[in-house]
Amino acid sequence: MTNEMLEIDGYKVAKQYKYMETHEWVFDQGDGTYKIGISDYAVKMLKELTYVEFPEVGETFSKGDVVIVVESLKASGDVYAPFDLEILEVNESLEDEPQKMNEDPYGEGFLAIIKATGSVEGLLTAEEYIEKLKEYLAEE
Amino acid sequence: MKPYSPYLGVSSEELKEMLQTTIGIDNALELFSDIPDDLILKEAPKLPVGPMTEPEIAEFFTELAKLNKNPTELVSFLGGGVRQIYIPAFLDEVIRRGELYTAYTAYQPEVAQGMLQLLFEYQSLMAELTGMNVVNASMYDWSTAAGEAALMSVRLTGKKNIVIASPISLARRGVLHNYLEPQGIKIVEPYLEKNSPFIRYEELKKAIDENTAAVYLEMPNALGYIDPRAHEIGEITHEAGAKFVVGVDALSLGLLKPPAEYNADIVVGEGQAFGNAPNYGGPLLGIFAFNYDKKDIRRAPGKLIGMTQQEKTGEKGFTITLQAREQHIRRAKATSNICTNESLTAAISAIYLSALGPKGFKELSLGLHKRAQYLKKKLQELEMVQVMFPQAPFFADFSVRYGVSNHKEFIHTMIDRGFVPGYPWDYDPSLFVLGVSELHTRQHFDRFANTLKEVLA
Repeated sequence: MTNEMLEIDGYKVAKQYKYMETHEWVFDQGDGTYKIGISDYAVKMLKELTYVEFPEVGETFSKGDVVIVVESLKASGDVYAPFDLEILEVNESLEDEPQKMNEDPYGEGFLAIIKATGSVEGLLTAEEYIEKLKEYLAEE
Repeated sequence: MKPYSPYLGVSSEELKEMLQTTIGIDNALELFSDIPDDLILKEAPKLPVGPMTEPEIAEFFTELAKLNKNPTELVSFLGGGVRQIYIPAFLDEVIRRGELYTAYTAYQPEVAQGMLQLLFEYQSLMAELTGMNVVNASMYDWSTAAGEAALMSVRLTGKKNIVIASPISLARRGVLHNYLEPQGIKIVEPYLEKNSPFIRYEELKKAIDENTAAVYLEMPNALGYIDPRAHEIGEITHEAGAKFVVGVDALSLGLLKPPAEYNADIVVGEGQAFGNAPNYGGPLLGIFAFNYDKKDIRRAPGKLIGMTQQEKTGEKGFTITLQAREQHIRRAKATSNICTNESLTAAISAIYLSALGPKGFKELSLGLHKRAQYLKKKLQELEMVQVMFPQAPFFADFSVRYGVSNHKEFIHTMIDRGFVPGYPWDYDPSLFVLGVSELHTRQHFDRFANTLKEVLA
């Protein structure tokens, strides 16, 4: 799969992905499962990532719950549930190589594979997310 | 809003403006609405005297302070983890050195390298004494460290019962209660064995089950005794999938096995006696130690100091590590709400222990035990004193009954004669826990025994 990238101010945004305002991305794998991760902007804000605190496989969350916590040298960030979900798989390779999140946030640096257990509506398209980023960047 | 001077009082108009216009409430008391109404003082307390001039006030309080006894002028057998000790002169000299300080408070990452190194040394020393391989840069005291250990066990196991496997002081129990109860964590306390300072084993076994997050054992316990079943208690704890938390009087570790050897998962304790004065009960030094696990370490409370190396030159440096789980970064979602600690008392204890060295520390520990043995023997010779649990092993504290009906009066009589005859046990004031320190000499013990003979005659 080629991952077509849009870019704003040096921050990459994967075109086929959906986003949350809080910088999570969601990729529909087409079989009812989704990959989730955090955007290039988010990893660049957190800087060097060092650790991910995963939930258990099989755990369920409601939209807006904190699902995963990512930790960098001097900050930590909550990853929120984009919709009601169940955890199918977590990216355990990040335990040894958390830097993958910095190097390839939309690919090898994904966080988990999830199953939607409710409506998946209400996410931003890549273009809409770029508009949000513009707002954030203007505030900086 | 116009600026108000922090040094001058505000007028009632200004107060009204601050309350109503700025924050939109009518009455300053509304700011304290979280506090139960019956606990709020409705009018100012009546002062016994006054108004006074400054010299009059100074004299008033000097006279008042004279009512306190100076513990250094008494022979005190108060123990229970906090001890009057001898503080060598070099300690003050070293702890005041400029290399240890910057303008930053001690819990900020920019704190001086000297302080960071001392805290790293403190952690390493405590790791050696407890046998555990991770030690945080300290907690407030033994009690809060025990509370944090219970919370960490709950985080690690997902269970909600804490079983107390020793008699513990009322103060410690109070802190545990405050830490745990509001979070829905239950404290389970089996009864003491008859005529024994230990918990009933059968009942303890029953209390430990699939809901147990941690079993908390004190070595020595609040009555002064060392539970010979520590190893077995650890085993039944682990069989139930719970964490084995051991609380220690750190001074005893020059003589007793490190808790790691009887398989403690978390070790907490009091380190005040490592060069710190009793400080009226605080600041003290809470020790918190556990074993490394990549995930567990992030569920641990408090600050951790790490050593690192400059990539090119290999030069060593010290730094606060794993900060992202702490309060100053993670705010309300922090692993624990302790990101400050007792840096100064921890640093003092590192200096103190380094000066003692392993041999000196062993001698200190053994010296305390020998003193306690001597005192026990002296008291056993007295007919009117009942030395409790004579068969139970102890370190530097043990329990007695003096056979008096009015304990308060007895304590005052003894204090007037220059002795604090121990600590009356919280749940039975006729039982006194006596603790010795290295300040005590054979003459002190002999004089104490003679005085008791006279007073109790």
